[in-house]
Amino acid sequence: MALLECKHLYKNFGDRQILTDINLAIPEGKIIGLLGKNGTGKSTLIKLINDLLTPSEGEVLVKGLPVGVESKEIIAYLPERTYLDKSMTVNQVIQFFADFYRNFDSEKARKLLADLDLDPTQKLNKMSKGMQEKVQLVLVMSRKADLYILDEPLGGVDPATRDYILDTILTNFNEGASVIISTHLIQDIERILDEVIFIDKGKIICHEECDTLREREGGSIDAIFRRMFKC
Amino acid sequence: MLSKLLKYDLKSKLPFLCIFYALAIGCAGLARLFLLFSEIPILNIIGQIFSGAAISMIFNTLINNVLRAWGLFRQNLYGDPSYLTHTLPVRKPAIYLSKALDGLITMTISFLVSGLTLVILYYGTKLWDTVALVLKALPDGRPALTVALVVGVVFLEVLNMLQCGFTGLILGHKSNKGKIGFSVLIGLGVYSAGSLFVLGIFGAAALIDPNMRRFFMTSQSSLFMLEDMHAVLALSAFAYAALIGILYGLNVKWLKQGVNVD
Repeated sequence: MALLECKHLYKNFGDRQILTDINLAIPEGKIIGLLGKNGTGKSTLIKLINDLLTPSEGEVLVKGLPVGVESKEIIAYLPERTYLDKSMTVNQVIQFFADFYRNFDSEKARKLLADLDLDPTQKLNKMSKGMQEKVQLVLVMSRKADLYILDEPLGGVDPATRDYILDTILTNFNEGASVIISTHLIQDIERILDEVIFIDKGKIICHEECDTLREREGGSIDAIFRRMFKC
Repeated sequence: MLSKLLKYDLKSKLPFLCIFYALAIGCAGLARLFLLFSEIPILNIIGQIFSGAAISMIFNTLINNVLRAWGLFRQNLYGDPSYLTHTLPVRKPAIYLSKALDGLITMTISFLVSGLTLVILYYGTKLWDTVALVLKALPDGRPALTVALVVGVVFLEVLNMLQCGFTGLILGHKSNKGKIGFSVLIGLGVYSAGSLFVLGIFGAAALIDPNMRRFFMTSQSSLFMLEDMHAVLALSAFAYAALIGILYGLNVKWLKQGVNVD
């Protein structure tokens, strides 16, 4: 059984079709890049998997079950925006996660925060946007989840921190779990990907192992992406 | 999980309301203190100012409670924090129940603080005695029951208003991507429909019970002059409780159908 399955998934907002007939199966133990230009439906797909949007048609199954409490227990999701209560301190947010997620490791979170020089007694509203994003990443990666979904995890950080973040993702995700990373900074993440999904105009146009794709098309994933999505 | 949700909902609202609670009780205490020396004009004026401030704080606690509940509901279910709310391993009915209980608890506290403020302000004064006399003189007697029923109906009415706001936000967001004006319009529409529902219950009761018919037919202008005033108030309480129950069920059903967060 696939870890995550999307079956004939459609999403439209009024007359506007955002996703069309998405069929997808994500196995366990893979790092997958969800790649596409801006506004092609990457975040919509991720939001559907995380119950933030309701499908117009089709279904999303996580370990064979529809999206719900069970799927939220095993999916650790990092959205593209800051979503924490900014009046809280980092310590309070850690407690919040520990209260709600059985698979959250508070000690690991504190260790990662210390590595990133983040003060757990500081209030989030006193932190920069970049620091808040790091706190969110730490919280997500401190869960022993089966599936990590990271929407633009490198978007708001400087290039020097990107490598550190990618290492944090690589060294901290639960063994046997899968990771879906949505980004258009392909060059930065290419080295860690097992598979890629190219999405364009709301349709999946390619879902393949990175090595197979590189061999067949010749060149890096970044180069293939640029070729395929040339304006 | 419900208790944890409720804990965080109360934490985000109560500290703010506590400021108004403290101000209401503090102003009432100071008013009473200064009015002990009301024969001295300046102290009398200061006392009256504190008295007015305490009354305005009572309204503040109630209005802030409702507005803050709506604001937090919108933020937590449709704003940026909704990315956390909807990805918590918690069922949607529990999320709604937590918001409803939060409203119930903070509104109860607000009513108790308002009552305490009024007692501090007026207990033992001429106004207090006059009101007590009027209550005793009502045709139905039993002033304590009258006060309890009136407060109960007002409490349920405010809870109903709070929930109509939630309904407006849920339906407004469903139909128009959360444009707040649309939510307000729907909320007002639901509130008006609810008022008609309450009136409908009275109409149905009037068809069965001739005493209740007098509520519609009487030429006496005041509800309090009716002999079966307690029955009318009890029926109001029942009607509002039924309305709250129906809206609660509908809101949970609509929320369970899923959300579309921007």
